[in-house]
Amino acid sequence: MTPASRRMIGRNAGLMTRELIFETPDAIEVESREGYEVTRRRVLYEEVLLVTFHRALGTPYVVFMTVMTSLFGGLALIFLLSIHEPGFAIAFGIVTLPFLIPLVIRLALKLDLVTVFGRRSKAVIRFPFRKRRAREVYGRICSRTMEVQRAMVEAEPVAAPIEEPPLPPE
Amino acid sequence: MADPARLPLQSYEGPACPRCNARLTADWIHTGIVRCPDCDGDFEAMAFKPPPRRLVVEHVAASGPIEANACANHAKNAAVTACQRCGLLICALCDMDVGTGSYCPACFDRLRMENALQSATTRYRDYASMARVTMIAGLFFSFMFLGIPFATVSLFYARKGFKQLRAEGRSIAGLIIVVIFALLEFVGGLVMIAFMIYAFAKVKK
Repeated sequence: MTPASRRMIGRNAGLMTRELIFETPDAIEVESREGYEVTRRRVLYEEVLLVTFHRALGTPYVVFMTVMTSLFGGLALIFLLSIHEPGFAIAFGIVTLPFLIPLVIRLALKLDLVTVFGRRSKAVIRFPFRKRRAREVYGRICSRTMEVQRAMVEAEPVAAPIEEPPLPPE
Repeated sequence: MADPARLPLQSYEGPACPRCNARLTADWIHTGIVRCPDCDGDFEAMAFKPPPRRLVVEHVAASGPIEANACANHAKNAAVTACQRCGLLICALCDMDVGTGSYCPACFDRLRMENALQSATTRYRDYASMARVTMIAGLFFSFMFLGIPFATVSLFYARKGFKQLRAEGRSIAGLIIVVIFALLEFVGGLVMIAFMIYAFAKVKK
């Protein structure tokens, strides 16, 4: 566990990953959850090499949702048009909706991703809905990194030459 | 022996294209819009050149043996602090400071193995999730009178979860709902048992 001085800034939830991303004064903290076990790693601001921002569709998600929508939607259409059973068609139509609505939302809004590459690890933050927040987080990470690394350069000590102790007189 | 090339381990190799994960060479790491040479996808990037971390290691020869004590591990280096656990004098190289004090490498390893250093803990249990799952399991098995033990376990985990969430500064709203449901489960179980005893007593009469 870490002290309370951290704030959750986003998530990275995919088919295989379940991560919570936090912002701390000196690092981006990533908590991966596998069942009840939580593994934490940090991307220190003083080690950040690259911060990226891009918009993607999320192909595996879209493919999965399209398959499910076509499966249940197809069954609904078969029941409605071929078998003429509107009751079953409505039931399958209702089952289709939880797949169709997220698919349409994803196609319309797409997925914003902020990736922070450090020297030893990276952090990915996904924003399916809050686009302005994605920009804000990207900007904040960049400015904080700049601030920390500038402070490091300014505080860099000037190496004093090591004086050899005088040798004893011969 | 397994072919090392086939090992499933994927180590982090530094900045890569966020779209296709192809490694980016130094030429491609720059601020602005970057077009990946592999997938041709573009992304906005902000590049940084972090200065290497330099430790100020004072030498005993520079300050003199009267002015400074030597580090227990590096005889040439001057000690800057003492280990909080064993009191060993250590130099800046040996100083393992994780925000809770200075430790020598040996004590740091031992404390970390014992999970005694909270800020150095990288793996722990999520008690809030455990409380939630046991509460839901209790709801499913409440008809088998297992609601009471499950609710008890859920409340136990919830207590630990509260401590954990507070320490992390996260919201406890979700856990409060879990506690309410666990209490209802517990009371519901007791009511069910009471009702059964009452029913048996009435049948016997």
